[in-house]
Amino acid sequence: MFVKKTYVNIMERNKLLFWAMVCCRLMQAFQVGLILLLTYYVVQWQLDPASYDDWKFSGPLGKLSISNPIHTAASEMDDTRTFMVSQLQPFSVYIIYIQMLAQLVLWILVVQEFLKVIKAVKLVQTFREQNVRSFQKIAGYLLWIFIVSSFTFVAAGNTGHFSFDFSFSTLVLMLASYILAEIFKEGNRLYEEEQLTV
Amino acid sequence: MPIIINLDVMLAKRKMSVTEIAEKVGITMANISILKNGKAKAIRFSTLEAICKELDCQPGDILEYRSE
Repeated sequence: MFVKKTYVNIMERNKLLFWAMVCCRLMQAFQVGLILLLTYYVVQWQLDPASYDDWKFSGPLGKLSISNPIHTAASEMDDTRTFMVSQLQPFSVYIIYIQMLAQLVLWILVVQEFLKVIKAVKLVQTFREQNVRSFQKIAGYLLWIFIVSSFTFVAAGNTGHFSFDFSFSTLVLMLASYILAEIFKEGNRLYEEEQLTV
Repeated sequence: MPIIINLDVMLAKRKMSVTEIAEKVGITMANISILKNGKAKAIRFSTLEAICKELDCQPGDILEYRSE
């Protein structure tokens, strides 16, 4: 018992875990900030579309950006995937907004689950059922991120542009999460077996 | 599990209580309950040795194999 308590204290003072948690919190704050900024732009665009006439939108979604013309070189506008915001159809803007919002929310959930795992490790409750579920949830969220970010639909003027762009790094992360879930499941099985050894 | 723990039978034969055996063997009541209820996944040789010593019996008196 004393040994376990000492180990808990050591883990609670573990600097790597502490900084990992700080990074996760900062990432979440950044993502929430992005959501607010994005929502602000969409609301303002609805109230005063004229103020966004010189702004441009470029895709696909994985590399999607909305930028102010002041910071954009003129040569970049030649890109076929670049559209003036004034040309975009409203429903296209809503689709893009929902896509970006969904991705950001899903990333927040991924980080949230990761935080839960770090907290459990800090409390020396590493191989527990809740961590298995966390990794399975992370994998599920990553799959949704892959699906949501795999297509881009932009309706500008009288034409519509639809393209697929697969982010395989998300799939690799998803696979890694599933593997970690399986490792933790095995760890949990061994832990329970050890607990039931008299 | 086809391994049956006959600890309660041996305790009744020796007229010993669960609390008494737990104290003598040096294991918790929770672990004795796990053993008695057949929830245990494994038993250490040291625990088995201590139980056999206190109950003056053989491991076969406590453990029994019954095919399912």
